[in-house]
Amino acid sequence: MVEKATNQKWLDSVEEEALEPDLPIIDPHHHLWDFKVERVNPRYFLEEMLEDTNSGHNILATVFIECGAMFREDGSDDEKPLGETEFVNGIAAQSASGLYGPTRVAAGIVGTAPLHIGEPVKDILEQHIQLGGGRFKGIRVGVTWDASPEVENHRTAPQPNILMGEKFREGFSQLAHYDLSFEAWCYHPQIPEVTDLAQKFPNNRIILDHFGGPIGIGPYASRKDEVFEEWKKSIDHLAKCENVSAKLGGLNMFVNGYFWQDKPKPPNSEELCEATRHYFEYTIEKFGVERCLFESNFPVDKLSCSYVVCWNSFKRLTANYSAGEKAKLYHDNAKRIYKL
Amino acid sequence: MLVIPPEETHYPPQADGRIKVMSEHDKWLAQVQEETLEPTLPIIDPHHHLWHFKHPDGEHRYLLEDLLEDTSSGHNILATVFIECSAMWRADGPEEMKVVGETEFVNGIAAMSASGTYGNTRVAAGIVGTANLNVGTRISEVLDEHMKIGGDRFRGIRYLSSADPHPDIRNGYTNPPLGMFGEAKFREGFAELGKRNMSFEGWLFHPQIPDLTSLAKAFPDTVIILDHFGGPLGIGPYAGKQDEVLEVWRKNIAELAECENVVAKLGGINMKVNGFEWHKKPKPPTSKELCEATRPYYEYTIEQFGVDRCLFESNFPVDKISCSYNTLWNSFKVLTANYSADEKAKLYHDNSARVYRL
Repeated sequence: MVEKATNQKWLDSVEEEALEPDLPIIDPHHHLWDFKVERVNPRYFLEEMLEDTNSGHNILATVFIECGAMFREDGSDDEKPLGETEFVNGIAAQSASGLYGPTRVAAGIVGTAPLHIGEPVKDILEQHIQLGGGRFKGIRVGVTWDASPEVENHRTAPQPNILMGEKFREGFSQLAHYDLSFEAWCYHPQIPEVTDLAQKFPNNRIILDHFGGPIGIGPYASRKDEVFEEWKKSIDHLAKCENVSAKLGGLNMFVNGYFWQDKPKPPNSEELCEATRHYFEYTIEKFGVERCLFESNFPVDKLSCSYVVCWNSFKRLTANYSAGEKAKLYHDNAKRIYKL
Repeated sequence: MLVIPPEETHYPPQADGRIKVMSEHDKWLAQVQEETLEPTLPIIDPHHHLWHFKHPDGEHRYLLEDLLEDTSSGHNILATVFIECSAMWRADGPEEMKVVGETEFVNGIAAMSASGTYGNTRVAAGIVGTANLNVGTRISEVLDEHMKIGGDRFRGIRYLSSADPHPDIRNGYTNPPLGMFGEAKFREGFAELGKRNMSFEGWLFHPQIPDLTSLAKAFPDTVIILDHFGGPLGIGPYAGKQDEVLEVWRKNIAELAECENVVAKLGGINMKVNGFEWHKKPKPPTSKELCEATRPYYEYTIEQFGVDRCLFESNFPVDKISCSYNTLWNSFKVLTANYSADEKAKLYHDNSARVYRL
């Protein structure tokens, strides 16, 4: 019944034992969906997810992040994303029945809502909270946009500078009232907009996804060092906002330009760690261990590596961290930030 | 339960390449293949389950795609109503609230269906959950939680009361005491339903029908739906006594039908407990055989309740023990072959839409 990834054979060609297999982990970033034919797991439901979370690491709970799944076919456009929350809460309920083992999948749910409609978005937020059965934690609006035609913009076709819009900010400001966090998914040239948003709304909690999406394809492919320098500057500013925390992961997508998927074998955890170490270390340095949380970004990052290798690469990075620091990065911060 | 068959029995190869493995039971059912009768007649199936159980005897799975395989096998199923079956109850939390897990689970499947990505049938457009009404007025908290989480789909409560003193007959999983409907505490809890415009789904055995009649008289403003003809028994001490059973059942049904707040589901009579033992035969029944064997129950119920208060139901996958989804609805259509278009509309669609407010 479990549907394998389309690149499963390739992924299986690197076999690793899970490092520190007892370390308690909350995976604060993954998706669940069906019919996403452009992904390596066109179907990623509870049982496909469990294949990954049960593959060696000690995953206690997970947080679902919106991905445009199961939007309602009928009704107003603004309410369509409620279908995703209902769908995911259903999977969370299956998981919470205990039938599928101890991992609590989608113990937290981050959905999406049309913040650009301004204050009336309150009604949508309230419905999300009601339908989410105590699991609803925040809103993500994907804003990834770049001028280059070689860089794919977000599926929602965002306007450039959407985060700066007045109406958007009116909607955004409602989140604090409901104690919902905002999940920022942008490309690295847009990080200053997230910083501006964070500065103007110090009472809103913001979580930066995937390091703010450093681009490594198209016009950026040949300027990796420049990109890193620009990114560092932006991250440095953003980290000064105490209301922002940073997810560590999601750097193995197509847009990041490592092209692991084109190699005869996937990277092992050492290769993965070494290739991306500078992003992880700089973010931890700037945000501190209290405001960082490792994330799998599965099954998107499954394009490049298995779930075991992904978390092994994190564990190599933190091999010399103290037990207290590890507890924060792998578990406690996610638990605190998503109120699990 | 699932067996890995040789290549050629992979069935049906689905459009997106997902392969369904055929079980031994599927193969038994597949021996009877029928053309769908009146395939365009709009139907709401007001009674089915969704579940995933892992029991020592095997895994039992009936999730969205399993149901869709049935509902898309020929008949024109526009929407369905899920009826509780103790699936996906919460492992943790307060005891009385555990049942809300089932509503969350089913509302999730309903949302998948309502996304339009799995075809036109709206699965679980209505949801009937469970709650232990025996705790009295306190049950209001659970009812409110069901409604909150059910995404406007939550319609009513079923609390199993099926019980018989004879050891050969398995009582409902709620282990109900005989005479439960008469208990003061139960009625206190039951009174909370009407306040919320929720219906009550009665599943019991035929000797208990008078208890439901008394309940219906005490709460004339609460809609009560009789499941499966009130469960005429045909096993244990009732085996081979169909005429006697029919006589008692007829008397009980006639009295119940006098209560205007009660409607009757037509179906769910192909379970083990009904004693027809179709599942022990080398081949499943055809729709004609099915119809003829059970015709008296359908016709008497329609006679007593009238076409405005009856609704056909599949009771799948429970009744799948005896026949396929296609054969089952064909058997209903054999029965109603001479009914007017208007009567058919009511029995197959309109009454369900009205009773479950779809």
